[in-house]
Amino acid sequence: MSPPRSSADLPSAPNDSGAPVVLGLGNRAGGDDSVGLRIVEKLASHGVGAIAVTSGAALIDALMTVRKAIIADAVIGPFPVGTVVYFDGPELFAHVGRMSASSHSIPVGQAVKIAHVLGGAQDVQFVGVAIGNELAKMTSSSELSGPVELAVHEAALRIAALVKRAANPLGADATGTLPSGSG
Amino acid sequence: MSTKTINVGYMSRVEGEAALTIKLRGDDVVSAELSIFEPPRLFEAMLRGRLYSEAPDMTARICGICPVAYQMSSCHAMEDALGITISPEIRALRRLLYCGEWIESHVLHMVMLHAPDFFDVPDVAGLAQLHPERVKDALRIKKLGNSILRVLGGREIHPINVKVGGFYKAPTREDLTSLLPELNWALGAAEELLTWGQTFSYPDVAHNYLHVALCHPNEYPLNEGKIVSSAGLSINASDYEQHFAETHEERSNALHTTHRGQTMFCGPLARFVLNYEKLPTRAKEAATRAGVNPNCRNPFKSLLVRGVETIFALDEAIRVVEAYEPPTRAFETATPRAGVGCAATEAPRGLLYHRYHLDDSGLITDAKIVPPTSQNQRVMEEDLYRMGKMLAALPSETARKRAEQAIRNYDPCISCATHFLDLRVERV
Repeated sequence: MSPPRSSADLPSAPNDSGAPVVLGLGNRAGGDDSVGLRIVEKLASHGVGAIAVTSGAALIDALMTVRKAIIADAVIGPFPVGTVVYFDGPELFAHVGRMSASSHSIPVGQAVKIAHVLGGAQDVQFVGVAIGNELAKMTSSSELSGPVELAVHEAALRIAALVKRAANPLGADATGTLPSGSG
Repeated sequence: MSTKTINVGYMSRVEGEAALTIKLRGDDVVSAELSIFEPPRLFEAMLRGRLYSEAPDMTARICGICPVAYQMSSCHAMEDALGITISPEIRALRRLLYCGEWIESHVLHMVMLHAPDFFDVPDVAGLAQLHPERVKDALRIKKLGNSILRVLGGREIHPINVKVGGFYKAPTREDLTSLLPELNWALGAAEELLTWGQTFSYPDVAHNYLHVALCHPNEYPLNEGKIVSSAGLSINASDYEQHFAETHEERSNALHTTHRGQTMFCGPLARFVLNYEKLPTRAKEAATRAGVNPNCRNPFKSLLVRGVETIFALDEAIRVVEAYEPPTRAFETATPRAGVGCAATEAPRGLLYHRYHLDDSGLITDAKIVPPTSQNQRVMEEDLYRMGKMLAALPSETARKRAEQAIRNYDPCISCATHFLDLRVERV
């Protein structure tokens, strides 16, 4: 089992290994907005290392030290609460900036673009859990709602499969494949 | 006569959610409305019935960019109500914490939010393609500001080490001196950022604003001072509500503040104009090189003034760290009692006023919070009126961008004010 890590555990120079680094964003006291941090904890119990990130600026820092990343975060958007969504490539830039809930001034899509332009992570995937509308991220709670808690489990399994597939592309696991923009 | 509407339905690169509508008839602006539709957050109501000691952490949650400002104003107001005097060492640590917030907030606004306007790129990622080294430096300086918050406040956003009377735990000397190498690097890098900012093309506009800021007799203001104006006002925070009033406009979820019916202007440019003499020599020299002086009345040059204030904050942080000796007590003990306390401090965006009423057990019975964005809301709209002819002469898309740029001069924090922008320009 890998313990949850913080951004202090990131390498000082870009890591060229094949496996993506998982970066979970969230606000621990923010109810469902803590999704990314919960996924980091859940992945640890599956033996997958992941790093907790708490701001957009910290996300840029993290993305500048890796080549490949999977970002886990809460999503505000037109999906039923508890839906696990997946984006990569141009879709990530287009959608995640407005929908990802946990960035503190620098939206996730922007952070990914900035790091990409400045020579950081070039291959970024996004796995999110829909938490509802804007009001959902204003909740003060240390608990997840029921549908979101179930989705955290599913999202962690999917991310673990994506990491496994990246580390061993010839033995790809179909459960890592998510339809774009949906669960 | 031709009519035109400039409409920004959702304004980007501001903190929060708002829209802007400008109606033009010929070259004249018929109306300019900044509509803040971020939902009301009702913090003042939530504070009622809570203990005095909860206010710093609760109000910090109003904003992820300037939580220290809320903690400082609430602590000072509570200490006013409870008759607490903090030690010089705690006072210095609070200045250092505030410097950290100014550094991260100012650099974020200068480079990530405002500078893209001057290069006609959609965002900082576009700017990074043109000026990668400047963006890298800005990110590193911002990280340093956040590091100061982490070292002193326990974490980078919404610090948890601040309490009424001081800090839960004072840092060691080594905690603070570990920041010095990066602070010294950042001072030089911030000067280079300001030099770069000087090369931007600024619209040639100016107006004789009613500037309002704190003014301290001996130092550039952060936590303390009289509330002064360019029209000669000089009052204590306890008299704020006798001179400033808030009104509700139906189109906006943020209250509009005026000074005896007059539009006011707070924030970096107002502070700079009213406190220039108290800047350290290094910041004054940088301002001179950048071509800004206390006679500056061009709101677009607020970007340069943020650069000057970043240099001030770095210089001040170095001064505090080098002089630091850990206090014998991390905080002064508070004894609950009935009373009223008021305080104003200088958030990165401008004056932040808090007032609390406490009962004899220390429970909050009433709270009032006036953030800088409420105080600047009218001046933002009036700037757009004054730019009417300029906007009318521009193609719609260019006019929209220029109007958004004008709003960003104020670095509005809508999350704070609701406690921002779709632009609509209508030719009627």
